[in-house]
Amino acid sequence: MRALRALLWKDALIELRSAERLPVLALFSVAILLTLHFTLPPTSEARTPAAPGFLWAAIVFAALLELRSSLESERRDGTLDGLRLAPVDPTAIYIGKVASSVAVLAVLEAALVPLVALFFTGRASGVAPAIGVAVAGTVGLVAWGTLFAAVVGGTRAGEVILPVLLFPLIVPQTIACVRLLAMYLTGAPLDDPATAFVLLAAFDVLSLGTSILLFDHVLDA
Amino acid sequence: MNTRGSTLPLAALAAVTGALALMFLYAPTEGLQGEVQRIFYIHVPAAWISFLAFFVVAVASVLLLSKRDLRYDRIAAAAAEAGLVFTTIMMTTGPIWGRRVWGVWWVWDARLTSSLVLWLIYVGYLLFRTTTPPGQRRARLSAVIGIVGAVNVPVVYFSVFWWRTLHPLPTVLNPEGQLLPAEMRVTLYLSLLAFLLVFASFVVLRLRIEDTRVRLTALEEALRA
Repeated sequence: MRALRALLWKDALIELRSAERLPVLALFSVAILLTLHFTLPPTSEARTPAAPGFLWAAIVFAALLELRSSLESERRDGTLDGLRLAPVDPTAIYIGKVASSVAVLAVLEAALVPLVALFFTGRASGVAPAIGVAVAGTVGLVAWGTLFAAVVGGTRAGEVILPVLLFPLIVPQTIACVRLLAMYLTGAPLDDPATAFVLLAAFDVLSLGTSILLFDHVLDA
Repeated sequence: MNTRGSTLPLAALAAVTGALALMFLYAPTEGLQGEVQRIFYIHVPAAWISFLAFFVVAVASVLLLSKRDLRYDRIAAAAAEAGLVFTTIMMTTGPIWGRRVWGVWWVWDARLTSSLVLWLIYVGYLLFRTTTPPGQRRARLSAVIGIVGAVNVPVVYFSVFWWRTLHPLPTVLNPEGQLLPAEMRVTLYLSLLAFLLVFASFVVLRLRIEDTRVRLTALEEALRA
């Protein structure tokens, strides 16, 4: 537990002092939303129904960037080797990485969801729960993502292999998350929101659990 | 030439010939769909073998992580390579059939989506292997990919199934009893046997190449020392 707190503190300090990741991620996501916006015809009726998907796409791409930079800085500065030498449980290292990436992306989402509401749906209601849903989806996304970023990190073609492996795996999170986001942001009807929440939570638990079991082997390799 | 181990490929060849004969000469033409239904005898066994291959990859990956014997890594790699072939067969015959029967090449239903996910994971797995230097490290990291893929493919299936689905429910392993006429069933089973033998031949031959390569490397090192 103390190790975990120290690891989180380390990541928080790095982020606070360098402001390395958040501004970059914010600009990147706005650029993605801009591009996605212009994929629709000017008077399209689809702007509102498409908004939750656009938001999720921006989140997924930002997460990809975050996952790479989060582990890249560790590798560059040799922190990962230091951590492996220290008597720290690999699970703590993994949870520390996941928590710091989720925290960075949660801050990003807190800004991104109101932006999408402003520019795409024009509805202020439902923004707060939508941020919650986005963060819940991000947990599962980052859980698989951190594991795979560590797997492909040292590889030549890592940038390509990470999305090829990660995107198919997060199909469940994508479905559950986008439907719930649509319910909150656009008022789209959802038959059974409770089931959607249960599924989203189940996918998060599954991805975290499997990754915790396997991360040990990744660090070892 | 070393002829040891050529029994399996020869048996596979015989089974494929037999299956092709049954498919086109013996099996009756389906009333509603017509001739295009014969693609069933290729599509369904290919799908089953794809899942079998992935299961082999997952089991070999678990064994590798627990026993650290690189032979399991070679088994997993051979099964993944052969599996990609059969998944690709499934992914190409499916749309051809679907175009004639459903009127569309592709629908985003549970089985089609999870098959696409399976195919992408195989590709990612093999892509990772080809871009990483061989050894314990690559073996352990690819085992992690193999296990996660196996855990997730059924999850993807159920997550999409939670929506509606267009793909027909199982007609062969249907809990309400057999829906398939006997001639069709015989053809399907022989075709399945043929696919199974082809898959086994691929894996065994691939494994022999890899084992020989390992022996060769060991000999070269011994020579240099």
